[in-house]
Amino acid sequence: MTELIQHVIDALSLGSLYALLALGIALIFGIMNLINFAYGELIMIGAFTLYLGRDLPWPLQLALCVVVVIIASLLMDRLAFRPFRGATGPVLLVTSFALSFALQSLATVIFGSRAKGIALPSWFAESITIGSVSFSSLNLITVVLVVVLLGGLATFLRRTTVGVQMRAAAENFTTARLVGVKADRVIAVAFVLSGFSAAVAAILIVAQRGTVTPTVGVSPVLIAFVATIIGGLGSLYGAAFGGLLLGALTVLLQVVLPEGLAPYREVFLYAGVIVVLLVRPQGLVVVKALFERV
Amino acid sequence: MLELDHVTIGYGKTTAVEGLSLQVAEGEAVSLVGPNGAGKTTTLSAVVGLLRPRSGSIRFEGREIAGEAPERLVRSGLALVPEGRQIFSTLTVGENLRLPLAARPKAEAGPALERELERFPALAERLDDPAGGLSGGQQQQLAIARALLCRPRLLLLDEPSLGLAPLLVDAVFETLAGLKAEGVTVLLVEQNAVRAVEFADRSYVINAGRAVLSGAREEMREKEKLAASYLGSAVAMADAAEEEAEAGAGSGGGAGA
Amino acid sequence: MKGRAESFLRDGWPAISLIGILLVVAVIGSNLGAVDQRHTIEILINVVLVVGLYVFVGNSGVLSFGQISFMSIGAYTTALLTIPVVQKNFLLPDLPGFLGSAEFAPLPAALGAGLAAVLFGLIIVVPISRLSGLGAALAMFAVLVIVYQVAINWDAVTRGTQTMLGVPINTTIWSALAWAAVCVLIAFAYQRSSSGLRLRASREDEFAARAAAISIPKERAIAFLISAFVIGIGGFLYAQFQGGFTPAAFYTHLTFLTIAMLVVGGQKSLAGAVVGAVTVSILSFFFNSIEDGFSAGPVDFAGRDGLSDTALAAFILLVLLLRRDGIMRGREFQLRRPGRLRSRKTSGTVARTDAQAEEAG
Repeated sequence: MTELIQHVIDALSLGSLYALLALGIALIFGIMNLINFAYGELIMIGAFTLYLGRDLPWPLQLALCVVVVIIASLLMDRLAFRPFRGATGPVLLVTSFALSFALQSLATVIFGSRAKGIALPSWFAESITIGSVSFSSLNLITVVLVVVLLGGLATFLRRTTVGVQMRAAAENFTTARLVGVKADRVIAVAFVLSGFSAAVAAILIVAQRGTVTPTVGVSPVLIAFVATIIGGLGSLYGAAFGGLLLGALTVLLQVVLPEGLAPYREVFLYAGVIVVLLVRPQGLVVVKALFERV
Repeated sequence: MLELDHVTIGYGKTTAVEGLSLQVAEGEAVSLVGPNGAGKTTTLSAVVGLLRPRSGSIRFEGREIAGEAPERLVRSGLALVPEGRQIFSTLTVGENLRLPLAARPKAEAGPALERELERFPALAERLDDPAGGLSGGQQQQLAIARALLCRPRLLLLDEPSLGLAPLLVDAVFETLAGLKAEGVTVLLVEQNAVRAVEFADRSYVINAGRAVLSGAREEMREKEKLAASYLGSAVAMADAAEEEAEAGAGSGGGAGA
Repeated sequence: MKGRAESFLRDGWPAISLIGILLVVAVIGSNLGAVDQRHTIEILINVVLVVGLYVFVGNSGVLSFGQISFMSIGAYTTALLTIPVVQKNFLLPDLPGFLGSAEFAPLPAALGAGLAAVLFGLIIVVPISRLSGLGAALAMFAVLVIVYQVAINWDAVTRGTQTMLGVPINTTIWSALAWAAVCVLIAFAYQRSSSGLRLRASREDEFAARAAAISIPKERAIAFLISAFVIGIGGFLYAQFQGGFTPAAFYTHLTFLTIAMLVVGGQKSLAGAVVGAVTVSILSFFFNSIEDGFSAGPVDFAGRDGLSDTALAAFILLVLLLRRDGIMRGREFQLRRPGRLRSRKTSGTVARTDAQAEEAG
């Protein structure tokens, strides 16, 4: 029973992180039809900022991370994606690939490819024991943080003028412009939100790993990509749900697979992804929700 | 108010509209009719800033606007009711209507909304419902109301009767007649040529990207000319062109054939 | 007779010109130093890979992030079929009977590699050919991960993360050239076949194609399997070029590179595939040499790890910025009779109105 609870906590925690990652991708995709693979490098930039700021008091360190990543995200749009607005799918994909690749390599040039250690304040990853169940405070922080952020995002999209404009633009960008919605503004807001999620993800990932390398963002962005698509492209709820599901499945496979098959965990996971795509190519969530595509 | 001068618009290698000239004076209702694929939607798209013409000029209230961004043109007083309605189905009716209001000063927004809700009571009843649940006719009303809330000096409509049952088509044209009575300047694009020509003060017929006929309501009532130019029969067009040339200045600022 | 030869030349020019380019690359390369000779072989192998990618991605318009998994299968099959028996039994003691004692010459091994890739393709083709857009891209990425993970873990057959060694080195500039030419011809023949035409029709307008009773999944499946075969051959060439490899050679890095090569060259044409592969390959070698440091006059630039990748990625971005459709803009090399109409895509609208104008007046 204790084990079950611990597994559930792991699943929730990992699922929350994955949901956050998926949102970072889905926010941009919903508005611009662009899968931003360089989102992984936003996480990397956040991680390296945490590294560079490691001697600062932690509130400053975290705040710096958020600010730098958001600025990087806006610059990414302005310099790298704006010239490609209106390009076709494959071109946009290769562009974001190339950008991701360029940033990774640049980081290698600047920092070298060896892992650098970062230690966040100890309470970030402390062991907490309640009854017979023990887990890391990081799990708690992750779940709470992501839930709060999701709630904040939902409120923002429902209640603010810009939020409604974003939802309109996500459904039909052209028509939104026809009623006066400023294209540049909603895109910028999307990149700010995406950047913010990348910064938070960077903090959580670094807290867990303790190190940073130029390729730290590669695996998260792939997870985000997978989660967004199985959740349903264009739906924010879908992306969050896809992330949660992916996290839960990962933990489930870890627990359930017999010894011999354990190394094949990813095989099963991705096979599952293929199955989902076949059974429901439009994604799992078909709720009429925020950013729902008709 | 609106003046297109020898406008040519293309997509990639294809040319959709060639050398089109038309005018809309303030307070006028003008219709642009023609068969499928003639270039009507392309023309409206260019006026509203979604497409950049290859050549020619588009002037609105004396100012050259070709290639300007749509969201800026909206503020200048141009509003489009797009083909197929294009309402935001995941937003509520109220959210749809409030979108254009964001650009207007608060004091105006309230009364403007009230006015449109009076004009379209069906919408008033469903303010909090998702717009996707509205019927076709109601969606058309929403699309028109949304455009009107942009406070346009020139209202452009792209095939508002498309896909609507005859009764609803009547309703649409009633609304248009009401707008005309209020003095709104209208440029209407329609496949339903007969009704469009009846409604408008002046009409242009476009076929295969070129203007082939134009004239005031009385002239356009000659159904043969209309039918012929629709079918694109070269002979009939030549006849029509001949007559047009003969009528000369009498056709009131029409375009070349 | 002359007419026949002429029309053959004109019809076949898109392929002939490309083979000509490859021939030039081979000839130049073979006269350079040892290192550049190896680079030349790499260029030709990349051409095979990107042509294989084009057969599916270019004709169908469906992006696939997993075609390189066929290269992995081709390479490992080649290894299993051609490593000398004695060495093989030492490296892979747990290999099932038949494979343990098999030792094939290059040509049958190549065909075996291609065949193995096709067989694997057959397993996944039915679902893949029904998906489109990002769903297909993701599904193929999942396939890539799966193949990679299996290769890492199936020690008995692949030596897991350990290097697969001892593949006889038979790939020369000329054998690579020959295979590249063959693959170009295969791709060319396919794209001119009725199946290829139907697939391209579906790429341009899915609805219209369906209305014309084109079975899109079927046409995609055909292209998919041909693509698998060609890329499997690429795996064979690679295996007998390097002599050894690990699963990481067939994963995301190469996937990105080959897709970039295709898009930079222009994904809608065979010429785009070849030109893109050649151009980006040459550039990457150039950037790599810079990475080791160079001198410009009195100044010495010290090399830094990662510099070449940055430069390559920056170059790709630049090309796409200036030429969104890629270098070849989706066109093949055409032999034109002087005075003939240039554009294949005449604007229907203008043509019609021109005709009308002519008639009327």
